Amino acid sequence: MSREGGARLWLALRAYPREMRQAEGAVLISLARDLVDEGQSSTGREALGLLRGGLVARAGDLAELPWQEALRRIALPVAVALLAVDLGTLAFWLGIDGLAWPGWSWIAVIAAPALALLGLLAGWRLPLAFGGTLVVLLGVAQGNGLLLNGPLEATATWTASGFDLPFLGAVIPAGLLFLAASICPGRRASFPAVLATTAWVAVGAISARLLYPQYVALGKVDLNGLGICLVAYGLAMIGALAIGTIRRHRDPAGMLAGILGLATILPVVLLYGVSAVPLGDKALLLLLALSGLATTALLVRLARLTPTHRQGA
Amino acid sequence: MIYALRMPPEIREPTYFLLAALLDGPLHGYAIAQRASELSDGRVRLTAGTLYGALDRLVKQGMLVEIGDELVAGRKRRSYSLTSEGRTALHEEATRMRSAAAIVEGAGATRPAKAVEA
Repeated sequence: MSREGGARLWLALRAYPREMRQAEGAVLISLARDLVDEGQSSTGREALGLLRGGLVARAGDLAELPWQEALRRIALPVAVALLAVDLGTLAFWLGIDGLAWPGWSWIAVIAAPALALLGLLAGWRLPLAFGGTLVVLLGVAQGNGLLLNGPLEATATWTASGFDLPFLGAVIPAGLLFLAASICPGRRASFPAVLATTAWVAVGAISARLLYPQYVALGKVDLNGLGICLVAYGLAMIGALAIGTIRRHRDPAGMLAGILGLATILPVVLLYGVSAVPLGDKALLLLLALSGLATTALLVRLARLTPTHRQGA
Repeated sequence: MIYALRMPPEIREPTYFLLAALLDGPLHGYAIAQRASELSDGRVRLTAGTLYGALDRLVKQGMLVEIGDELVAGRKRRSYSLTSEGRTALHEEATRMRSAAAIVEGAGATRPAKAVEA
């Protein structure tokens, strides 16, 4: 087998949970190599098979976990991906505009997932809740947003000039997921886990920086904020249904699906509700803050209804 | 509905041939994949990820048992053996399929074929 083929299998094996990789990785890779070398399969097919097997194993793990732990497990890769995309995009624009103060809007965009990630890795609920709230608020109030284009352009003065991130509205479900995860008791991640997470952020940011000009800035993909939002909410709904199905025998599976369903529907209601009323800066900020607080309170209330939360707390 | 609930859990085709591959004795993963492909006339072609997931599930269900690892030419191979539960499940499935096939074959033998006009 070629070195490239071996590397593809090795990468695909990363889809399995770490414990499983350590215990069974050598057997799995040997089996895949045997199948390829004997002409029974191809490297691409085996890599896809390992990817699928790893995701199924992770889904199985998710089904067995208490729901609070499951929420935190889901939130971690989401925070990593969000921070990586934000950093990669900022790096691209800094490369175009030159190194300069990017403005408070950009700082908030980077700080939101960074705080969420810090909370998840350190086991601190406050930074996670704050990061989640910030992601939601930024999404609702996106600088050059399409759903909120009218009211913000007319009234808001606190977004940076030329601040254009049409995907911000689409990451509101992620913000609500962070909020939901912040009500669950967390624990500090091990040092190797922190290092691995940091490495994934770096790899993701570099990939986003490299892909952004090729697929976005040069117009190969026409970024349409409304379209991205709809796709993201659709994916969030599919994710919520899939997780609900995986965890159908676990108490309180309905609660988890309910929270994620809420994360899907609430942003749309907020976006359309706010954009329908022409508001000044102060009123808009107050409304957004109240919406964030109400969402947090609702999620806390939902979580406290469950017996497992009382046991875990 | 009650009938459906009382039916024994169905064994899907890949699992059936995977269990059947072990009828003659323990085999390691690659040999299981090869034998399952032969027995099914090439219909069941399992990747390492799918095969390992199925083997893991069957071990947890008590139908297979792991009998150890060995290192061959620098590659780690794990062997599996059929348990009595696995053998029973396989024979029950074969009986079920035989009964189901008999219905169709019996009908074909006793009734003349009737052409259906479109």
